[in-house]
Amino acid sequence: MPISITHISTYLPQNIITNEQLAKEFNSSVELIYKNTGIKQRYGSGPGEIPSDMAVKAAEQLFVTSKIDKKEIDFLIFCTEGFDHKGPSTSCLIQHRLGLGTHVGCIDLPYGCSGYVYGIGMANALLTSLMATKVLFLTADIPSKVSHKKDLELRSIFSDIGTATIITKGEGEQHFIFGTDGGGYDNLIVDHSATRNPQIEGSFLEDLPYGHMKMNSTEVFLFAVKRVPVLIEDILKKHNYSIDDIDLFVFHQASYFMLDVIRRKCKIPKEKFFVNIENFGNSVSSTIPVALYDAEQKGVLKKGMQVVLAGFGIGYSWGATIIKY
Amino acid sequence: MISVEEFTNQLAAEFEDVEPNTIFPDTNYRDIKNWSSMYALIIIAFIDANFDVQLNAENLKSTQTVRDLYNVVCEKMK
Repeated sequence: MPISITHISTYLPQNIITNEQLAKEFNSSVELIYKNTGIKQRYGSGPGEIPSDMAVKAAEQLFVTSKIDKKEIDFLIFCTEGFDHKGPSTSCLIQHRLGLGTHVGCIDLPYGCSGYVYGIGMANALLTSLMATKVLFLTADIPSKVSHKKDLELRSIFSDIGTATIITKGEGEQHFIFGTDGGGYDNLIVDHSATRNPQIEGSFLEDLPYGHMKMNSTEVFLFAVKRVPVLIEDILKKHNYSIDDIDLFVFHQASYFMLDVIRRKCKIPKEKFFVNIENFGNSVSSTIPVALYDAEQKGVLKKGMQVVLAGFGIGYSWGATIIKY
Repeated sequence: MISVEEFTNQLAAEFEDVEPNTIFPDTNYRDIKNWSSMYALIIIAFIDANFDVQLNAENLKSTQTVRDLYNVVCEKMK
């Protein structure tokens, strides 16, 4: 595999939102919220805390734990759907905040649930074309700040987390499958967040200054349970692998229920399918690195394992690859 | 189109928690153990993926048994 994920760190905001809190606020029950989502707790960013703040904290943590010299980083990719400004690229601001060298190339990657696979794909392209030797890939999002306060469904699923990953060149070939169906764009969308439908003065949207996330959960569910099994079949076929050749499957942690249906459709044994949404929620582009980090901490993921990564969702957009961890 | 018995067997296999041989064509599918609105999504996804028929909430509301579902699918495939 030509890419190697050498280090991952995560930044979890201090604000943990429990089912007890949501049940009280919405006059619902802890059991019902858990039954519908498979989630016990999710994270909420602090007042005024935005994705770049979370990504910077994850990166600072990574430099402490990995002991990697910041000077070695020659490319920075920042994946989020909540940039600081429409210009300049937020990755430019992060380069400065982290004290990275001025030789660093910077790209913003405006992707959601498929963003981690896209970021690895971009890092792979940069590394194999010798444009970079060590890529710092950051992910962070603030779904809690674009969810309406009365929307229990969104508030019970989504979570604000930042992550940092170091990607370097490995040996061999790295294969990817990517796909897009923009026809599903309005089934999961952060509306009123940019130029198409600007904010409307005097509406409830004033409570949502960063935009208003809307989700047609039935349509998104149907998209995922139809598309992801084909995606997994295709990425295995591209490597001439079967499920037996894979040590672990780490998918975007969309919802417990959706993952379970997808796992059964793909005929992946439970012990090879990592799920940690219960304690972290759906943190958009951060779910896969959060899961990789968590799986390694729990001893489920070990160095040298063959791992299928798959991201899918908002766009619709999807992607998969197989890494040797 | 497959038989209603085969349709029932395939649908039953979609529900992991359900004991074998507990769902029949005339079973009211809302009586399936641990039924929740999520199961309705499984039914819609199963029919969409296997028969290329898109059901909506109204279609589901008009059905009670597995046989009713089968008949709706047959009708829409015509």
